[in-house]
Amino acid sequence: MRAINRVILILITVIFMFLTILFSLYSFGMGGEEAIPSIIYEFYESWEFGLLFLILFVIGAWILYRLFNVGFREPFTRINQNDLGEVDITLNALKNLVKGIVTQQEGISDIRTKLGTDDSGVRILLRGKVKTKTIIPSLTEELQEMVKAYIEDTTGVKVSEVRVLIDDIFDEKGNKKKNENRE
Amino acid sequence: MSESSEVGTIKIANEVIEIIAKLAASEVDGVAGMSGSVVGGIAEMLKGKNKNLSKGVEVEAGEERASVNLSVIVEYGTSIPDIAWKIQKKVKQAIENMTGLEVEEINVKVQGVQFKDEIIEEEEEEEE
Repeated sequence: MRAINRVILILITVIFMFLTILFSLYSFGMGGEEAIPSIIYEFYESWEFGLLFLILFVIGAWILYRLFNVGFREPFTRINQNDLGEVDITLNALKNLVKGIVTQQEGISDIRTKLGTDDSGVRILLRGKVKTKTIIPSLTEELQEMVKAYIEDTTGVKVSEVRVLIDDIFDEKGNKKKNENRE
Repeated sequence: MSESSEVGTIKIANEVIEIIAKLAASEVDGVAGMSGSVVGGIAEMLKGKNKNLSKGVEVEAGEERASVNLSVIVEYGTSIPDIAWKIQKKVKQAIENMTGLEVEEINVKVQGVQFKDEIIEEEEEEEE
């Protein structure tokens, strides 16, 4: 979902929440019997409020239109285009493929994956913890090559970059070294 | 899609073409299932479609031609371009044989990847 759609959806939801809590409190007898009718009476023959509600209506209709005709599409990348049509893969599916392959690599665990695309291909960011006494440059290089080769072989998508960020160390028993040192 | 003959008119609903496409795509080795988004599910529900039979399939059909959009989930460890090509060929063949429509394009979107342990879990759930 694009940022603008998110903002509009949040805005509409906040307005909806405000109205529902207002009517809920009124229904429980709070704020006086004339509270809401007097507010509504303020709207009568007020072009400012009329315009505001009209704008909200148009925004709501636009969201529905986007939802049913365009759809809040998941980000995807093109695999190929042949005589029979286009073949695409969502970044979420690619992420699952990356997860599947990185779990096979020994010496690294708790790997989190982020994906992005640009004109040169797919960019992959991996964050994880390595086991103590691991030679990090060789492990990460092996991981980069393995991920790039696997994704390119199985999907045909070009991988432009595989970045690896090691953010913690763990020992044989799975304990965090960083935390032990702090303690 | 509708066709006129001497004895009357034959009409094939888009939903029928969607079901044909879904069944053909599901038969391809390496396809774990079809994927419908939550939004798509709501839209289909409002349009009164049978969600399970045409899930993950969108068809635009005219009098003589049709184009199909498929959202699929593939099994982990398979070659996705190969599977996509097989899906395209199989779906095209199935629709053209069964309806007589010319299929202009079949767009395949891989929405997810299913791991073997997930497939086994699903099969166990079905058995129960």
